Amino acid sequence: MYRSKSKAMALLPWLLVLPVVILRAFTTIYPVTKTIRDSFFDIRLLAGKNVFCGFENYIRMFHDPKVLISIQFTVIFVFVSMFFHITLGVLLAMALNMKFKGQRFLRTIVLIPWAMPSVVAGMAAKWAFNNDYGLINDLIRRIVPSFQYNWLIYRGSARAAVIAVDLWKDLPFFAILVLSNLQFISGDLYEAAKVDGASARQCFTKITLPLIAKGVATLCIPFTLWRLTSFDLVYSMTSGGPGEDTALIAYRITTEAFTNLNIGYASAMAVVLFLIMMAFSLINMRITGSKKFET
Amino acid sequence: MKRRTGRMLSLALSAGMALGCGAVPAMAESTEASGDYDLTLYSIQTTDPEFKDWLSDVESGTGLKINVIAAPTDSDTRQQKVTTMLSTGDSSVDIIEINDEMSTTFKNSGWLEGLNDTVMTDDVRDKFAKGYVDQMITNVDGQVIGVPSYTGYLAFWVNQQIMDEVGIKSIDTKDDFMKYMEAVSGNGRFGYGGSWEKTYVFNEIAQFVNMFGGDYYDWTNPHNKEAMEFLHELVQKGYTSLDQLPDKYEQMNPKAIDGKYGCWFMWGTGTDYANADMLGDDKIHMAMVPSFAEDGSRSIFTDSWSYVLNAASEHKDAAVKFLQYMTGKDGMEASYKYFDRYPARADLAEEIVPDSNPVKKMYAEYAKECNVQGRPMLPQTMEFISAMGTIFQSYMRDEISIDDFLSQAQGYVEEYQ
Amino acid sequence: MKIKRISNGTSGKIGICIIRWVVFALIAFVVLMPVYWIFISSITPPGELFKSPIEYLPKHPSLESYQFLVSHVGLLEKIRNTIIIIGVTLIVGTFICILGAYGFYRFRDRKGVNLAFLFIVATMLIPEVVTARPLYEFMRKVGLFDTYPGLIILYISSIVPFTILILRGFVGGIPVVLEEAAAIDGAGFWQRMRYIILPLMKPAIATVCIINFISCLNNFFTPLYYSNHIQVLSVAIVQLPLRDNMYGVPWDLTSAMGWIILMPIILFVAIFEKQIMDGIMAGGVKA
Repeated sequence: MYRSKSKAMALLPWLLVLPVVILRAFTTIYPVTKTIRDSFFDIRLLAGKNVFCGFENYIRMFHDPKVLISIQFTVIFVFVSMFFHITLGVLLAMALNMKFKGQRFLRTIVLIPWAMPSVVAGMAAKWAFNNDYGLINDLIRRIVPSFQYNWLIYRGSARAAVIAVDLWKDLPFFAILVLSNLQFISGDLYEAAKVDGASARQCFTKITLPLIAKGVATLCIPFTLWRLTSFDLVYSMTSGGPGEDTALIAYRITTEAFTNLNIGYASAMAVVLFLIMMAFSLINMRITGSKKFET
Repeated sequence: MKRRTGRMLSLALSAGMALGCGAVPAMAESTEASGDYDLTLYSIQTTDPEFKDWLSDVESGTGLKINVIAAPTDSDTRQQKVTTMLSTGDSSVDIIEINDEMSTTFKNSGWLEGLNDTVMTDDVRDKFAKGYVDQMITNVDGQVIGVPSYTGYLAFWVNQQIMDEVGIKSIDTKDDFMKYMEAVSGNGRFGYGGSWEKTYVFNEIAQFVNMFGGDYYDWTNPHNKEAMEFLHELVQKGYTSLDQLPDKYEQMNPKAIDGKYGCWFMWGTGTDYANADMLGDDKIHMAMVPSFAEDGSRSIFTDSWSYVLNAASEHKDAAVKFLQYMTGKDGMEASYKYFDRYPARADLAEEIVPDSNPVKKMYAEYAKECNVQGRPMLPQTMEFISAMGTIFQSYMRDEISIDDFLSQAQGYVEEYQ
Repeated sequence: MKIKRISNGTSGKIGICIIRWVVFALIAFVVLMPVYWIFISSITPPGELFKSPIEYLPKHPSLESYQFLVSHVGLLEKIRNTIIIIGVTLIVGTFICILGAYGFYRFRDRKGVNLAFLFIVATMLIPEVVTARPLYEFMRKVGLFDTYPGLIILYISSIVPFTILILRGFVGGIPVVLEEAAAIDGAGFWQRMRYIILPLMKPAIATVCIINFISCLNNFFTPLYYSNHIQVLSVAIVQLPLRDNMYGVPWDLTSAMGWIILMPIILFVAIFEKQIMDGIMAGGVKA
């Protein structure tokens, strides 16, 4: 009797974790294996081609100006967007942490942009940045009446616009998550600091920042990964234009895989993206992981 | 309290599991129900207010019970979805409505059934515009793969209010065109307006190339260069605006309605203008395409959506019946009546469309006076279209020179052919 | 909130109060203005849609777009499908994720379990869009393409990694002592789960539920690519009728459709605002 029970206990962990593991395995193993295999083939469905080509896809990628430009923008996109996620996100979180009448209201509304379907947000953004009928220029013109500028036709401003929309949509969610970290800082710490004569600024740099740093760093993993694989915003907002200037790498891959049907090439890019994400996560986990499970 | 929530949760969870399991057979049944239908149609029209009436007309006309699946109307999404379905041999849909971009992409892939022996027999085929059928929906083996469902032109549109204001009666030659440009442009108004988004602009590039007598597939042709330099000049002189670089038709039309453009090219019959109460002989209307070439010839593009038969279909007999119906008068009439689609067959258009429809007169003139062509597309159409759009935008923004543009364009023609 | 006490003096207090309201107004403006603009687009008749300067109070507000969507886009059927799929996904998905998260944390010293956890984390790195095509072929091969079970499996699979990550962190916060005490009193595993773990994890569960609810509702790719017949709300955004030139996507209808999807979320958040915030604030989302 006792024996069989302990046997059941030995199986228990597996009973608990197997459902999720099997489910994930079911939906990922085949696609990933197939993608890796395809990346070594020159598969162009529209040209009726399907031949083994070794590393050719991988080599070609780094000579393809379209891919290079999307790598360039992806890097900019991820870094700039994450920079503002962290800086503005912490500031916004602190604003949301202020105790006053509007606090609950503010905490509720900041989630609305995040809940907006990204296809709609992208189409809205395309209109919003339109010189003639867009919201942005209309607001600017209420202050500077002669203002004329078309954001989506120049490389720099189009890229800035894409990043701005990404921030508008995702930053509040990030801030709410940072906020939950802020809640853990005990008020006594600030009391003690105050007794020691610390200024508000010192409180921020010496108490707040160090204590939430790890939480923020951990949050950066999924948020960075989401940026690396983001394509829906660009898809509905700029279609990668002007030229190829705002084509994120994930958008490039989708286009190659679904529109141009260059399956092999798209698979190779997907594999590279996967490796980059893996490397990034490992580095991030190294940095944050050393002090893991401290709290 | 804790006990209660715990119980509630576990109750909810087990109910959920039961529901999840119970749902499986129940749902399987409902999808299976498509077995009761003779044929499945993948249509972009399903959200049209009159779709249901159209469907019941077609069902009673063909005697088929048709199962309809709504296709995405957004062009990128639709292209990807249809491409995925066809390329993987998905047999769950039989008839698909596809545009020219897709028919040129798929016609030689073997994913679409040839219709020469069943639907588009010689006598039927001859009733359709030959140029269009040959260029757009005939594959390398000479098989026609689709039934055009309407006729559309990339019409030349003018704003009569602006024409009256600057005192220009008609735009018939290049000189007229340039005079008009000069008179109209300035103060936030432009003589010419376009949709220069990178996947849309090829319409206009090709239109101007044709107007100058060039050849879209040969960028060493001096007329091509002339056409491109002409467009570049329009930008330089402020006759047209770089602001239109991200514009698709939906962005261009409000500007046209607001009187920001003197003339432009656009598909369709002008519903947007009608909605804004700006359609009419004294407001915005279609006009004859000007002739830029020395010999006075005129060019215009035609487009259509075609019904095609999925080669993997398991209901080919029913599908053929449906397609045959669509080539005939009843099918064309239903499209015109419910969707306002101009009939693809000229002989039937004459019968079906009342003379009171202003489009009829203009379309007849286009057909008579212009060299009517399908748009230039290659097997890897979308890749080609967006590559050309990209370098065109670069050239207009002065990032590359005309010679770079021409040599790259020629490179793309060779690469995607 | 403690920072406030650091500053002293009445004038300082008033100053801070003003700064607070300015910050409040600024954030609210940036967040709400675009949302409001999308809203007025949805209640403006198509002919008057594009005006420069923008009329922030529409002259002829109408519900035309909404009426159109209700009568021609098959909303009822889409809502029904959405409820079925998301309902089952949330219930089943949350249940197996709770078990999984608990198992992964409590038995983290077992090599196999830990390896399985790493597997889950690693699959999070798979960019969903790029493996979509083989997955499409796979779903068809196993007969799950265009079926409710197939879609539900994909939906659950998409929420598993993030949910596990959050819940596992939360299980870590529950003292083992509590469970050990219960075990000594003779409570079996399921009893401990029911009376100790679940009640303590309630806020975290509420949080993942709302996050998953929103992300499932907005999931556009999965229902679009892995089904034909079964259509959900998010897909309707790309099914709106084209204008007569066959190329123009109607912004008036698109914005209305966006609001139809947003409305239940806003209601949900407004009603459960307290629970959600408590859940998040209780550290439910330590990622």
